[in-house]
Amino acid sequence: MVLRGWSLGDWDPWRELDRVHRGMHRMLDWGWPFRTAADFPAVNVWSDAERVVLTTEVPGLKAEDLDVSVQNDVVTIAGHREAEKLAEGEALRRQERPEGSFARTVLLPFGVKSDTAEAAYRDGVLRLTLHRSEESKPRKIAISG
Amino acid sequence: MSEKVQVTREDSKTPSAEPAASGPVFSPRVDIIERPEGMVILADMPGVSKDTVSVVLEKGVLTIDGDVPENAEAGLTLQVQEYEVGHFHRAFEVGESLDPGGVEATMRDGVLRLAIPTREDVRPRRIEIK
Repeated sequence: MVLRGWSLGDWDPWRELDRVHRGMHRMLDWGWPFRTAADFPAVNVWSDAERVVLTTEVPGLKAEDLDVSVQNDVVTIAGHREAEKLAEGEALRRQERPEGSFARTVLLPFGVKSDTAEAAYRDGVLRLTLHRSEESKPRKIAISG
Repeated sequence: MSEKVQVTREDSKTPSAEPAASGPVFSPRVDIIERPEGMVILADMPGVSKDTVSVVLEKGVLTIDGDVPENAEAGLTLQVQEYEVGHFHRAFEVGESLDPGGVEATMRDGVLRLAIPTREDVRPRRIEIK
């Protein structure tokens, strides 16, 4: 990582390229380099008959920038992360970390209760614990006759 | 973020030894920002905490390693697995204009932030004209 000259006032063609590059990345949101924007964030899901646990990796977020909602058997995870702002004389040498907004809906194995849902965000990992709703439990149907 | 890249050696001319980890090893995604006062490296390492990250400086090479707890839920059946977890590892060669000895590292919400100051004698200095 060699520091190029940054004498103030000089037009730096590399800085211009960086600026254009940055603009392009911003346009692509979290969709790049995933196949589609709907793939982010990736999730792992576990369940048994009563409970669903979902984990996903979304590092570097503030609690207020993360939004989780459940409805029946669908959970939506949305949020956004801003890249670090650059001031005059600063350059982005490399950007691999995604920035921008994301929203993902995940289909759960069964309907869940929203009032007992737990969401924990720790070390950049979001962990949701959801409990099966009464209505979604299979009920035996009596056969008459 | 969960798309991870397997460990490569692109960042250092001297090969960085791969850690003897059992399981997958990933190269964390980084942003590198150049400021007059120094370089800032931000690395996404979800699941890694202050206690499980290590930053080592040796012969001008800065190496970051991060361990994550196992991603498993006891008693439950795995239904969907879109991402794997594993050890994080990446190495950077520190340029001559930087003072790696003054590096400051912070870890928060799975993001490691390294601030490497430029060497004092290399910093731009305003020269007073008397």
